[in-house]
Amino acid sequence: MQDLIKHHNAASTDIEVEVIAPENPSRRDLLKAGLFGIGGLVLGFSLPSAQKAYAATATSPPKKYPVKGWLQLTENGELAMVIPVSEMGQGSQTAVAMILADELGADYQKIQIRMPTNNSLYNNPIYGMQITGGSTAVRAWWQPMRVVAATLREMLISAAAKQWQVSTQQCSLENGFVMDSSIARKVALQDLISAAQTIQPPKNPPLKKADQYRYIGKPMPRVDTFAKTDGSAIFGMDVQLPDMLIATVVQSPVFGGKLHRFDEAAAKSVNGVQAVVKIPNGIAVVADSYWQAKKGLEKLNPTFTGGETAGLDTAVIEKRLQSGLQKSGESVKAGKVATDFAHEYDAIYRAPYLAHATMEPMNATAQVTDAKCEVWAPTQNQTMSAQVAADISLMQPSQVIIHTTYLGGGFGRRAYVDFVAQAVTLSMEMGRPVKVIWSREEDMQHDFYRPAAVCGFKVQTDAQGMPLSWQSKVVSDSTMAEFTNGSDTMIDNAMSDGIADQEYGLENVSLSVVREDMKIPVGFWRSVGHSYSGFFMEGMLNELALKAKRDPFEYRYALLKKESRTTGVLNQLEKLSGWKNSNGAVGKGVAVVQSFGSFAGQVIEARLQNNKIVIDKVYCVIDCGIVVNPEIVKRQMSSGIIFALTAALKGKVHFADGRVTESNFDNYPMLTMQETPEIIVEIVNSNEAPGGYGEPGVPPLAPALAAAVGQLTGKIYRELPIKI
Amino acid sequence: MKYSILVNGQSHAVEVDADTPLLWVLRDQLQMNGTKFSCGAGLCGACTVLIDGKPVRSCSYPIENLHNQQVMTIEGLERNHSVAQAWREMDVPQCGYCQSGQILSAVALLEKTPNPTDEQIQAGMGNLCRCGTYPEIKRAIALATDLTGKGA
Ligand code: FES
Ligand code: FES
Repeated sequence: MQDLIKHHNAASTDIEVEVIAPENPSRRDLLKAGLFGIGGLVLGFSLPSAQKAYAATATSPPKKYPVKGWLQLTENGELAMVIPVSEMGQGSQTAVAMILADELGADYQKIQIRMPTNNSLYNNPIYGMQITGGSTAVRAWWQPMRVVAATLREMLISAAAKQWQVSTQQCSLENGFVMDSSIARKVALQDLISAAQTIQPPKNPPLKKADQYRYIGKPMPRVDTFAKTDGSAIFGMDVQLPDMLIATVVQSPVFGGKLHRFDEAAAKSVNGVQAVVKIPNGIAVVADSYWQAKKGLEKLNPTFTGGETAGLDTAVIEKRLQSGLQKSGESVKAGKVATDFAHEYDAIYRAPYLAHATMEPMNATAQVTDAKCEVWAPTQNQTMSAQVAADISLMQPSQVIIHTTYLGGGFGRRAYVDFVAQAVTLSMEMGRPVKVIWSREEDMQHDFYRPAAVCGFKVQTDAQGMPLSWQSKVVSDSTMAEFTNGSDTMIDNAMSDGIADQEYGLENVSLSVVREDMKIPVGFWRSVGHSYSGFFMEGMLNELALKAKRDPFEYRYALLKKESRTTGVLNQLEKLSGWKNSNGAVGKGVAVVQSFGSFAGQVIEARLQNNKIVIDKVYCVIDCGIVVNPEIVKRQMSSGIIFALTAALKGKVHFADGRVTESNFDNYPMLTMQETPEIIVEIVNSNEAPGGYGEPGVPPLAPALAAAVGQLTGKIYRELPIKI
Repeated sequence: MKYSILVNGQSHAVEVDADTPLLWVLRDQLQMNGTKFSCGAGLCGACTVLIDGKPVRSCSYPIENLHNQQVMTIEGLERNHSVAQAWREMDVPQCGYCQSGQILSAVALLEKTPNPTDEQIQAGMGNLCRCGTYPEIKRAIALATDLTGKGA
C-alpha cells in the first residue's frame, strides 16, 4: 500500500461508542460478523472522522455513522473481538490485543480473538477498505482500541460502584475484576453485565498514562506462537472441507497470452483427475489430491499464444526505463536550479523487478452453493476478495463470506485476489468445494512484482560539496494503477515516495515522474516505492558525502541543520555502531529513511572474502513513536533487514520472451542462515504517535550496504542487486 | 497402490500412486497439515519430517521409498520437547509457515549433535525462512541445548 501517513492522520479521536442492547436487532448482524454468541455486553463503535475522510463522494455526510467495530464481554466474563487485521507474521494480532487489554485491565492472552470475515465493520480506518498493508495496523487501531477499552472499563467500574454505593474513584479494573480499594472486595466482570447494559457510555473516557501500562512498551510474548509451533495453525493451504477437491493451475507465462492447445484426454487419464477447467488466463486441473492434479497438469501440457508482454526481455525493459529519463514526465515538485554552483554531479540509479516469494504459495478454498459463496483465504484484502467472489458467483454481497486464515507471509502479494477468483470459479464449475494450490513455479512467475525503477539525479553543489539545488526523475510503473484499474498513464505517489520528502532541509528540489507501463503485473512489495527510492536518495547522499570528502554522518547533520527525528536516529545509530572506530578491513556504510510514519537508520559492516561480500553486522535504530511491543518491533526490523539483504545481494526477476525466467528458490534464492549477519536493533524512546514497523526496516539496507561495499572496492554502486 | 505407513507411532493404510511424495500423503490422505508445501523441489525445507530420526524433505520423497520406517511429523513432537519449548520461549515464529520444518530440523540436529557449534547449526539448518527468523532460530537452538542439559 502507499505510504499514506502524509495524506492521512491516523489518530481518529472522535470515536463514538454505543451499547448494543440485547434486544437490538443489530446483534444478529454482528453474530454473522463474528460475535461470540448473542449474549453479554456488546459495545459498538464508529470512527466518524475516518469515515468522513473517505466519504468524499457523499454530498451530505450522514448524521450517524454505522458501527465500525465491536467489543464484547461474554456471559462468562471473557473479552472477545475480531481483530481487524490479517496476521502474516508482523505480530499485529498480538499488538492490538495488548492495546485493548492494557487499557481495560485484562489479560491480553485471554482475549478471544477471531480473524476477520469480510465486513465493512473491519475496514482499515486509514484506507477505508478492509486491507492489511502500509504498516498501518498499530497506527490505525492504537487510538480506537484504547478509547473503546477505556469506555468499557469506565462503564464496568460505574456499574460496580453503583452496586456497592461507593465512589468510582476508589474502584479500579485489574486482572479481570473490578476492585474496591477501600475494603478489598472485588466483583467479576460477568456479574456486572446486566448493570452495565443500562449505563450510558462516557464521552472521552480517561486513557491510561504510560506508567499505568502493564503490557504496552514491554516485550510480551505473541498470541500465535503456540499454534505456530505444534502444527495446529491453519494457513490457507491447510483448509479442509468435506468432499473437497484440489486444483492446480497454469496461467499464460507471457502475461495476457491466450490458451492455445492442451491435451485434455491425457490429463484425464491420470488417476484421480476429475476435470480440466479453463480459467480466464489459463487452465486448471481438478483432482482428488494435489499430486494427481499436478501430474494431470504435466500431461495436459498446455501451450499459449500472444500476450501483452510478448517479445519483452530484460534488455528491452532496461532500455525503455533508461530512455524514460529523456521524457519530461509529470512534475511533482518544481524547484529553482542553481546557476552559480561549484560542482555538478549526475548519477543514474537502478533497481530491478522483484518477486514476493512468500513461503506459502498462493492458494484459496471456495465453496459456492445456491445460497452462498464461501471462501477461505490467506488474504490481506478482504474487501476485494469479497468483490471478486460476488462478481464471479453472481451473488449479492450479503451472500459472500470470506474467512481469513493465517497467512504464510504476505509482504503485499496477498493484497491481490487473483487466487480467490480462481477458487470461486473452480468451485462453481465443480459444484463442490475446491482448494486451488499454485506450485512454487506458478507463484514465482505470476506475481505482482515490485516494479523496476530508474532514477536520474542532477545535483549542483557549493565549493564544500553541499547541495544548492537538486533535480530528480523517477521512471517506473504504477502499482496503484494496477490495483485500482487505473489508466496506462496514471502516476501515483508511491512511484516517488521517499524522494524529495525526507527531513533533509534540501532547497530547490525538483522531482518528476515518468510512467513506463511494461504490462508486467506490478504491486506492493514490502515498503513499496521506498524499497527503491531509499536506495536512490540515500545512495546519492552517500555519494555526495564522498565527493565532499566528509563523513556521511557529518554530511547528513550538516544538511539536516536542526534537531529532528532523523538526527535523533542518526545520533543513536552513531553511538550504537561505534561508527568512528573504523578499521580498514571492514567497510562501513550508513543510511536513514523516513517511511510509513517511522524513521529507520542502519549501519552495515561488510568484508570481502574470496571476492564475495560477507556481511558481519547490521546496526539498526528505529524511531516508530510509541511502541506497543518492543520485541515485535525489533523482530520486524530484523525481518525487514534480512528481506532487504536477499534483495540487495540476490534479487532480480528477469524476463525473456515476455515471461519470467525465475521459477523456484534455486534461481531466485533467499538469504540463508549462514549468510545472515548479526543484527543489533535499538528503539528510540519516543512519545510521538505510533509509526509503522513492518516495512521501514527495508529501505535503508541497500544504500548502507552499497556504501559499505564501495568503501572496500573504491567503486560506487548505483544498481541493485549489488555485484562487485 | 496400497501402503501401510507408520506416522507418529501409528500405522495408517493409504492407497496412492507409488510416486506420490510423502508430503501429499500426509496432507491430502491423512489430513495432517502441519507439514508444509512451499517449493516442492527439495530446496526450502518447509516440508521436513523425520524418517527414523533423520530429516527428510517429504515433498521429494516418494512413498514407495518408505519401508516400515518411522515417520515423525510436527504433530508427533512431544509438547514439552526441549526444542518445542525453546521455540515457544524465544517466540520464534513470525508468519510461522516454515516453522514445522525448522523445528524438526533442529530436533534432528540436536539428536545427532547435542552441543552444536555455530558452524554445525548452520550446516544442519538448511531450511529457508522468508520472514528471516534465523537469528531467533539460532538462539532457540542454544536454549534447547541448555534445556536438555538441565534434563528438561
Ligand atoms: S517444500 Fe519440500 S523442500 Fe521445499
Ligand atoms: S516464519 Fe515466515 S517463513 Fe519462516
